Amino acid sequence: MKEFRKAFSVQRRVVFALILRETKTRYGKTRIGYLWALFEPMAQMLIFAAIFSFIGRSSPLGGSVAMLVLTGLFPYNLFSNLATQLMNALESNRVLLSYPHVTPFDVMVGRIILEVAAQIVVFSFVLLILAAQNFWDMQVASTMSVIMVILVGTALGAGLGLVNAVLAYNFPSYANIFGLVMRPMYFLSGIFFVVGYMSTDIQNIMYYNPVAHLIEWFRSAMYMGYESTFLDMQYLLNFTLFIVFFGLLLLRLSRHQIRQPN
Amino acid sequence: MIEFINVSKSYRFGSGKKVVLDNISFRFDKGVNIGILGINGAGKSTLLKLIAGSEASDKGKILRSGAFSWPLGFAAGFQGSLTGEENLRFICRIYAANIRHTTKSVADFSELGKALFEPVSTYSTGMRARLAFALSMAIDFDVYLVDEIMGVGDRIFQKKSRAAFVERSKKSSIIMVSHDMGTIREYSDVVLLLSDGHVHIYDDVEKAIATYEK
Repeated sequence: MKEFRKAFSVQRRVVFALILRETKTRYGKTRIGYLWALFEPMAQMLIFAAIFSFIGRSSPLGGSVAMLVLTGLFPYNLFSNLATQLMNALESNRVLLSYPHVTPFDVMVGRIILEVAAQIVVFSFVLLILAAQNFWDMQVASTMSVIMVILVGTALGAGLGLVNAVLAYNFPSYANIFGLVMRPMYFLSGIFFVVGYMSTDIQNIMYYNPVAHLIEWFRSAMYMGYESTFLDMQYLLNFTLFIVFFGLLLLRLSRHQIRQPN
Repeated sequence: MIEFINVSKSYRFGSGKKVVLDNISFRFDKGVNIGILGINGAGKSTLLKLIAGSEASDKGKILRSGAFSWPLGFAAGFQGSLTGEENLRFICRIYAANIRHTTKSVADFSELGKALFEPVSTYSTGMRARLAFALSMAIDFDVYLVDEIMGVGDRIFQKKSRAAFVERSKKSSIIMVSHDMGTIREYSDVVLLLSDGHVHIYDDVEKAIATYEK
């Protein structure tokens, strides 16, 4: 038991050190780096929101178009940033893995915490801005569901990220292939439209995309009175469990090999 | 204390396979200084990494008690884009060492001056090694794992690091890989001779050196 506690405290220290270090390497290059780190994804969300408002689209869910775009972008970014950030985690932390205390798993946990925290902060800021501009009525249908979506989205993105990390480590060209596959995902996840209001043909194709379910779930959680007919929670949860399990398994199997210099 | 129980380790390269350790068992108690000898490519550095735990064995068990350093060598694990001081903070955090004290002692010992606050990528090999050496001396380890790091920097720095090392070795023990017989003689109580996947343990350092040099 004492051994276990000690191991746990080492792991906590390592993860904390990794998070601080990552923050530094990613954002801390310039003085305004931390601000820029928040500003950039915020700008992306706001620009999309502005474009769609400007071309006069209206939200099928009521309320502002900005809110529609935001409720699509947040779950998508959470998922896709985790999947890509973890994919590169081993390569960019390679030197640190020469320290016996630092395990590939710690590197992953550090990145997940940092990424999720950053996404939530950005989302909250954009929400505040939308509320201040009267684009959001400051109502949430179910806070519990919002938390659930964040947890499931994190698990889904992190699970895929673990798989990506191991594959990218073994096959250097994997990252390019993944990038290609992800590109249409942007449009096949229902960020800029509501899947639940699409034709059955389109819904049937999009059904297999777990991110589409994630976004639908998030919108049901955010919008009063929107119950998605498309959302299949069972499918989403099964998919997520499978990918997390698969990712952990791959990492476990290759954890020694990852530490070896090649 | 370090104990190997039926440990095997091999590397795959290309189509071949290189056996570094073939079913090795040994045990050394606390306070024993070990010198590791072997020809180039015998796997001395790998053995040190196995002892440190930064690499895992294919088979067998490795038990250690006490705080072991990371393998101190020229290729120190520093992030090039971060400054020496930022790297130092990271290492202090993972080893639960006091950041302020360590920074002060590293700044004094390494003689890096302002360079400590410059990115490590701008350092020369000698500067990196000085930082690594100063850092390892500043953190309290029970066992220091040394991979050919003695003889870093100019003569004055060498003299200083030797003095620090001798001071350290009173409290902590050392496991070192070196090609320099003088260093092996100076620090080792026993010698572990590594060849063809087998280890021979010599309590008599001179005898080990004689065998090795033949």
